[in-house]
Amino acid sequence: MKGTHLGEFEELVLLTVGILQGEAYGITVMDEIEKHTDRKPSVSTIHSTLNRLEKKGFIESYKGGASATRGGRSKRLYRLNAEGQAALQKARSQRERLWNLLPDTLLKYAF
Amino acid sequence: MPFKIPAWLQIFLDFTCDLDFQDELLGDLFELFEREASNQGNKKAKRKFTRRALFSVRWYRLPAFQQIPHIMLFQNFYKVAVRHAARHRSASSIHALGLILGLGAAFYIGLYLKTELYVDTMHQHSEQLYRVLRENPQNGDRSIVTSSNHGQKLKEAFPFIKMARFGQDPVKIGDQQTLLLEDFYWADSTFFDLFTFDFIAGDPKTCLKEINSIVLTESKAMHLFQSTDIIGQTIKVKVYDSNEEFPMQIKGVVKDPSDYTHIQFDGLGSMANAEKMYAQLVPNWYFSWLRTYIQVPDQRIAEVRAGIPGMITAIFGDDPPMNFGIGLQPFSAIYLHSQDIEKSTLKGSIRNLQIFGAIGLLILLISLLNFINLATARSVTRAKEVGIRKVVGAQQAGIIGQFLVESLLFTLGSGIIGIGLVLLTLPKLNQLFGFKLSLAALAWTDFFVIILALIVLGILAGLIPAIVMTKIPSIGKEDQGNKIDFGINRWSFTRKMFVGIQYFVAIALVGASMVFYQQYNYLKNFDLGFNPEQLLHISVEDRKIQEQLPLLKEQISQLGGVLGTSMTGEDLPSALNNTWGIRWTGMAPDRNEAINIVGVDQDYFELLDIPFAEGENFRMGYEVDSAKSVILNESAAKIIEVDDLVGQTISIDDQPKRVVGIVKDYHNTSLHSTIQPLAYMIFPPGFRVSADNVLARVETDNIKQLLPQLEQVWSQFSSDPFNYNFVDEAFAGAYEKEKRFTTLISSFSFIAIAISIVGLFGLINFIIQLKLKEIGIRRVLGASKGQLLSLLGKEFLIVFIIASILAIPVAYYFLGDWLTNYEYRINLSAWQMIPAILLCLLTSVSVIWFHLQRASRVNPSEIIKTE
Repeated sequence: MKGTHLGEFEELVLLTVGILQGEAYGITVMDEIEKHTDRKPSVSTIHSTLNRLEKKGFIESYKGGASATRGGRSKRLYRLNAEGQAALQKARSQRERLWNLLPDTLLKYAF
Repeated sequence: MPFKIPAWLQIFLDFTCDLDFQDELLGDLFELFEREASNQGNKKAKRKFTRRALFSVRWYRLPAFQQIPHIMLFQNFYKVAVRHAARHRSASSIHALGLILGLGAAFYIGLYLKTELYVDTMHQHSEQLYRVLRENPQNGDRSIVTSSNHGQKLKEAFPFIKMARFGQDPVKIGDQQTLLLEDFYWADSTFFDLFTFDFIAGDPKTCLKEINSIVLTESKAMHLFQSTDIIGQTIKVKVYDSNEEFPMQIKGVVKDPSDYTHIQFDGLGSMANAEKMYAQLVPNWYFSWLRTYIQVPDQRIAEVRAGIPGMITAIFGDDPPMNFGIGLQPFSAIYLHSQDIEKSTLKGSIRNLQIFGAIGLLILLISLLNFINLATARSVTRAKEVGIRKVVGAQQAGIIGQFLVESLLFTLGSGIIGIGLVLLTLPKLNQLFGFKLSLAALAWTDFFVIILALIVLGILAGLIPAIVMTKIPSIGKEDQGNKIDFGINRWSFTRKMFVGIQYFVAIALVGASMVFYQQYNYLKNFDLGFNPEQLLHISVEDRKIQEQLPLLKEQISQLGGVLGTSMTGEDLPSALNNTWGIRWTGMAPDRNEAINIVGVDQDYFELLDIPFAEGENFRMGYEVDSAKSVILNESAAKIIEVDDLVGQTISIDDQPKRVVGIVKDYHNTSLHSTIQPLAYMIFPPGFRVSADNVLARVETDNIKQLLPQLEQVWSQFSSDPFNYNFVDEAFAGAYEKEKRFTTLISSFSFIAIAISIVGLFGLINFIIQLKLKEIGIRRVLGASKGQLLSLLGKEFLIVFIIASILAIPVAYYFLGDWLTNYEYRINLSAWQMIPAILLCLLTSVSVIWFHLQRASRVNPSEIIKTE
């Protein structure tokens, strides 16, 4: 498997999958990202990111229910697994370490 | 289910999205659709759905991607192909070069064919339109110009058709600064019902209804008004030939007619004006000036065609007084099938289409043969690789697959490069060949057709080499088979045949381009029967100056360096637009003859060096007797069955004229037509046939000093720009079409030679590699280079000779056929093919020689010592 590095957009999607707690599939993830960021990713972009995250082993997918609004097609739902949680933790701690190293003055006066 | 996906979209998705992913994708898309349908409307949501589906293609979802093992094998094929190409860089580029040339040329020809067939398709009703032709059933002559009655009576006899007529009449337009519109037509108000043009302003239905209405093209409107927002403005329109002037109201502005329709105009005026101006336009059958088109709806064309003879009988009785017939030409056939129709100036020719199509196919063929040949020849270098593949378990299909992948890569790559090169140089090529090719003629589906064609070609080209490769024994078994030759000897006959076909095509094309060039030169240097050299022609487009033409002529003749001057109503080469009826005593009453009228002055024949066969020149100025006199050419005298014609009186356009002289025939038109019967007369200004050109024989040595003087004289008469040309150059220019044709054919024959040479280059290279040891031993034993050359070359020489022997009669047949298009043509002989053969032979021998030099530079001991 290629590296398990977490890309920026991947991190967003991974977080969203965590937030949605078992309700995560293409549309909900897209909506959630649109709600919290300025981005408007296409469904297919979300799909391929989810696919990639699954390949990297951070999330797991399972078949969800079909409904009339989906033309009788079942959902593919995603949930965060332990490795995904660990990856998020790692990303967060790395980031916080770097934030702590940022000089105070810069924070105070630059913005 | 929210709605049904269109079948094509489902197919698209099946191709781009594996079934495992379709539930997720489609389900999500449907959910979005539901949401959007409720707040944005069904239609918009559907559109968004389609767009999302089309942009849903992702690598990981492709069905092909799911079969990872196959992909890996494919990747290996690809990798090996690329590595192999990179290792044998020079051989590979030669390999590709032939294909690039061939595919590029084929694409260019394809584009040409597409563009020619695209012409006139943009008219909405093009399928229902027909051009009415004036036909002479007795001799089969057809003409695009008809009388007013041709259309009128058709419309009356078949009320369900629509009909539009238009007649050309150059006008000068504008209030102060005038602009000459050559392509100006008086048109029926139904014009825009039949033909489709884009209106920028105005109403196509009504714009030509009322008298004094005018429609301009965008470019002319911009030129005159710097705006297209000019509806309702009035502009002065001065008719060039009748000297009448109308204040006309602008009722429409249309986009300039596309280059790809034969209906071309700068401006249109209402037919009512022409009817007011020309008495001849009252319903009659004789005044042939109008172009007539009809639209026949509902496929009732058979009914119209069948009804025409009855209609003619109904009008004229059982015995029509003249050679009278009406022909209908389908609109789509006009551009390509009008070569033999009088007054048609269209460049399209179905014959050229066939010729180029055939050349395109031939070039494609030889580049493919070339590819196959080189690929099979190279199989030796792949023997080890194939052997090892077999040992580790590759099956026949795997080996074939590998070489198919290679040839696909080659054709696709070369095709894209070739097409890219053509597209990049398209403006230059258009300039060179005088075409107006563009991608406009291509539909987007053609893109897929091209890709598909490349893939099919790639498979075709790859199949034979691939099969040859499968014959290679696996490693360790090779001793049982024929050792080095593998498939090579088995294919030796085929290979020779392929090389022969290449030579055949190259020789035939080179020979053809040489013959075309000779024909072009023959036309250009033909003895016209008068002296066109140093003859300056000034055309006078302003009617006002035409009144003062004798004065202008007089002043020009007094300049130093001017040897003589004359005035005439016809350009040289002449268009001969004025044909009048002619009668003589003793002429059968039911016979009709016509003669072309040329307005001249007394100096004309002397200036042009046209000798008199009988009689003499006009004696005095036209005030005295020349208005009643006529000079004929020999062709005209032949028609008129009167003994001792000179001195007799004949009637031209119902006016009695005394024949004062007969001049020897000479060519005043380009050599595309034969010498017409001509009548020379002197006319006062103000007629269609009046003199409106000044001719001057000048000393061209001092032309640099003379031209400013001429311009100065001109400026005393007119503010128009001084337009002049030389008659010999104008005649040469009449063969521009032949010149371009020759350029085109020579370019393609060059490509054919190049491909053959490339092929030969590769083959010889390969054969030398095979025979390296033999060459080494022979050299050690003292063979001369000439002997070695014959060793390598004799096989090709035999093939070459057979190809030449076959090419000569084939080229001879087609060229002879082509030359019959020309009334005046060179004699064809087999000798004319000799230079072409020598050219091909010389290049081939030098290729072999080049290789031999390289091979013999190596010390023979180096080669022989290794085993």
